[in-house]
Amino acid sequence: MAEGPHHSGSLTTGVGDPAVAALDTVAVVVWLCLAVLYLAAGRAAALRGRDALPLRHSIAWLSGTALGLAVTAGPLAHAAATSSTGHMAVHLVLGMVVPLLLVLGAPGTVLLRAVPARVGRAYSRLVRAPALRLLAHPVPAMLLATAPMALLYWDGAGFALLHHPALGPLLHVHFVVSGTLFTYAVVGIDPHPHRAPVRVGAGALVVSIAVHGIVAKHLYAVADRDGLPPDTEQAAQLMYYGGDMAHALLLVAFCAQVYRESGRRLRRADRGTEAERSSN
Amino acid sequence: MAASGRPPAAAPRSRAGLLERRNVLVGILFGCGIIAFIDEAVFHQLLHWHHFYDRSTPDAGLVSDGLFHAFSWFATVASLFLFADLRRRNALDTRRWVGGTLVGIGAFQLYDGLMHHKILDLHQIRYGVDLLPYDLLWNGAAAAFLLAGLLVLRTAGRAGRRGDAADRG
Repeated sequence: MAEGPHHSGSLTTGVGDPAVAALDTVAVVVWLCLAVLYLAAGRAAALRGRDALPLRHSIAWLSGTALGLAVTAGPLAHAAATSSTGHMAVHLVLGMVVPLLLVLGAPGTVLLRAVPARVGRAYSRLVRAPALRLLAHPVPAMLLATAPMALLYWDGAGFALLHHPALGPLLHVHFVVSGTLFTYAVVGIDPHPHRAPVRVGAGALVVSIAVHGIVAKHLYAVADRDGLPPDTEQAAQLMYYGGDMAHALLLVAFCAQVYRESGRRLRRADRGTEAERSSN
Repeated sequence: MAASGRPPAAAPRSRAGLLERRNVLVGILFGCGIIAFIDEAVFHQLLHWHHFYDRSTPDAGLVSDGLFHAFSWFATVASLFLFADLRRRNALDTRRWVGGTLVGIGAFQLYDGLMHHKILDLHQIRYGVDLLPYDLLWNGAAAAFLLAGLLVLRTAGRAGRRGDAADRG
């Protein structure tokens, strides 16, 4: 959705005012569209006579888009263009916190309740397509989210790419999309036609946390090399501890989801034995 | 409970065994998580004895540290949810859980003390001091935790068998 306008922004060389203003506009439009579409879908579902979803989904989605907006447009985004620490904060929010909030918003469920059955079936077919099925498996999704991150931050050589006027915004898009895909594959409260077993999701989660920590410590180790920004050391520590906070949120969401689902199975089994007992 | 008159069937029996073992496992997970947490809070953040990373570590140490950090983070959160799950199933056996927790603390600290501090040379307990008393205390405490945990688990096993015998008698 955001690719086209980003290119037009990149035509102006350097980070002059027009390019920055164009990027800001694109970011505002994209995040506002996401928020408005979600609310419109909820309204459409209500007009179709569906019960309202719990409020926590809307709160999660709207705070996800608000947070995304706050770090991609305005003062925070501009600070990130000049400071490594600011950039790292933006990366953490876009790569982990925003995806988690978006996934907790259950956008798939909201969409399915808002559209006619015909569109819903088309959506289900799309989600079942082999390519998407592969991408929504925890292991490929984890690789897609962690491998570029590891290459970019391993020794700070990727900082130039991240501050590139065209590639920088595209990498932001990549962080949000790959983070959302991974979170959906592991936590996803939306229906998932081929959800991987819990231990596969848990393994992918642990590996992704480990890679994040290892890359952060390695970046810290090389922070005093020539050519790296002076605040690289601070950025690496923020990556480590900030990453831990985001991972804790992700782990709680993952465990809470598993706990809830096993509780449902437990209640079903209880009802099953009760029925058996009363029939004896 | 409803079937107390009849001899217990095979399936519920193995299920009870599974839940008993799960008490130990959840305890071990919790122990690993909580000791890693204490290590991070006390020695890294409060005392500043440990360094975030002292830049002398071989890559193998960095990978091992990263995996163990991720695992302990996961263990802390997962073990609390699994604890809630045991309570929900009325299957909580405090003695087994405590035994498992002590074993987890001891094993994790021993791994940290021997593998990370000594073999992989990741970081030391403290810098600029004679390390021997620190290492002895660290690993001695770890061994004591491990031993205490195994003792608690043994008494829990005995109590369980006595309970079984009483049920049969």
